[in-house]
Amino acid sequence: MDDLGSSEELAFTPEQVESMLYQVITQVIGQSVYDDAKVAQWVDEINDRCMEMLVELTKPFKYTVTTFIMQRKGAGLHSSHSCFWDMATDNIAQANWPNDKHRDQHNNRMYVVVTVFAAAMTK
Amino acid sequence: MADDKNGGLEEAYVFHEMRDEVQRVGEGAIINVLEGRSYSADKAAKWSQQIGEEVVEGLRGTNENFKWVASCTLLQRVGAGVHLSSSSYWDAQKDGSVVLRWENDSIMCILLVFAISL
Repeated sequence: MDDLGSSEELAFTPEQVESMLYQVITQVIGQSVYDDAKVAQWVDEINDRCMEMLVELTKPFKYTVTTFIMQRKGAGLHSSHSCFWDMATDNIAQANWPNDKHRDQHNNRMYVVVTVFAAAMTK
Repeated sequence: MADDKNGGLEEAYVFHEMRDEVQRVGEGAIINVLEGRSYSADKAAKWSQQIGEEVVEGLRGTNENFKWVASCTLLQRVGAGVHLSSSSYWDAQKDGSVVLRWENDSIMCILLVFAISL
């Protein structure tokens, strides 16, 4: 009845992870405006909390979490990820904050991008 | 007897043995794509993709013991503050990463390369 090893539970689901990433971002940034003295701390805190949350999922994956915060000054930004891995199991979850669904309600004057790379363990 | 073509790169099973090679491939790709250029909103997306692809192609061809991920971010330099941090949950003995930064007057490039052992 309880199929503990069901493939759904063991798969990495970007949508599920992405909504958790947005939660972490809003928890850490809250109403703060970009502050050079605190950004280093925010970046580490977002990274740590996201990693804790991923490990708690107890799925058979190795993870890399990258957190990027940029002050909003009109600079252009482009980012791309190229991966050589197993497309059936491995995936990326990315949160670009703010966006249409997660608005910047407090004029925080910064962009936050959190990227999770999940690679299935092969052994 | 004559099989050691790349100075041992093909046989590496742990990342730290290949760190220098990864760095070399990464730097080569960045310079190849960006040297002499100024930031262009139209082309930056294509450049970041080209760099990432060149790095992954270069590394996977020489070593099949790893999964490879290259993440390339290009920023226009306007004096904005930027912070980037990365953490990994993996096999500390075998897996590894390299971070490369490159800049000129108008472009800042941050390239992260991760190797995850099979």
